[in-house]
Amino acid sequence: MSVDERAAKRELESEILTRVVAGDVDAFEYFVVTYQKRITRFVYTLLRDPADADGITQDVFVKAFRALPEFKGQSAFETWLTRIAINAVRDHIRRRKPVVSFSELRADPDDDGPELPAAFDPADGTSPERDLLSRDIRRRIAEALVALSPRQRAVFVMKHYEEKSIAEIKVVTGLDEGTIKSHLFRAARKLRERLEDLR
Amino acid sequence: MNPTRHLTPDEIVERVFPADDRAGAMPEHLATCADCQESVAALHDAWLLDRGAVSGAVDDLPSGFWEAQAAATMAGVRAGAPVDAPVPEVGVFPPRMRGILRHPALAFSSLAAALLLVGGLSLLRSGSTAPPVQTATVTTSEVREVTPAAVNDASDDELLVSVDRALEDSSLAGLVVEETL
Ligand SMILES: [Zn+2]
Repeated sequence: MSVDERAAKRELESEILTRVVAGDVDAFEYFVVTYQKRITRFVYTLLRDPADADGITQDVFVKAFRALPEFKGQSAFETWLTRIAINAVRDHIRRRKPVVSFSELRADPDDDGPELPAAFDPADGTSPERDLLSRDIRRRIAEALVALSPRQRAVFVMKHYEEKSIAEIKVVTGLDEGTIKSHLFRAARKLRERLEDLR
Repeated sequence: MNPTRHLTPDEIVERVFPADDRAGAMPEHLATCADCQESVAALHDAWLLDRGAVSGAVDDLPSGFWEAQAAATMAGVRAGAPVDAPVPEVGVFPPRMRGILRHPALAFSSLAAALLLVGGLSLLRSGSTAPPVQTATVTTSEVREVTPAAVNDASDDELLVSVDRALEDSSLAGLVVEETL
């Protein structure tokens, strides 16, 4: 999105926000429709549970709606929404303790997960051995991810799944650069522990 | 790094998941060792596989899912339901059905199939008299004029903190959004 497009979007959203805050509740649906997929994807990547992703996404918008009077538009609405999503996921994880690992959610340990759309399957076309290795590592990446602390998980997903820059993560989380890098480093180290035999 | 030794597991992970915006310079050894290249590639492929899978599971959801989710969300918004409590009235899938959610793609599909029924029940339960949900009520055509947004990115953090404080305010005590992650 270009700078002009971003400015136009903020302008548009600012107008809609004004209407919502003035009492036009239905106008809020613009934000739901515009950002529901992005928030659902983010929460699902963090939790790997479709039902939770759906429920928490709805919860995020309800929370955002109730907090709207405090939102002045100095930050992008999406940034603000993401912050609420991170906090909602964190609260969900805390409430849900003890943490159930990704593997435990599966009844069949041999299940490699969903069939992937061909375009998303980088193992497609390589050797069967390579396919198996990739799927095994993928499972362990997912296991390592859900074993991270909520904060590490959020930072790691933003960086490596959403390809946000450190600066962008800083804006969303309010964490300083050193802390973000530290989370990334520690998350990668935990990942490595799960992949010890890779070498 | 000794150019004659293989990469350590940490170094392999760092190649794929750098803790910075860019990976560091490629170790000399990696440029020439097929074994190490294979290890890095396997991890890289697995990460792409995982990223593609989670993305695909969401992106491939039918439009009916999103419409139902939006409808349930707006019902929750209109109902002003307490948001620190579980959200049964806006949750579109009963927890007891989680057992069948082992398979994310299937789960989402099931979710979509069940949505109209459960979403309808949710609306009834919440006592909402809201009209059927429409698509986005405002389009870009309503932007009268493109003006530079009064954006001050430096104030974003401050804003977020102030929002969080407001959320912790007693008037919004039910909202659980804190200043730290
Ligand atoms: Zn080597």
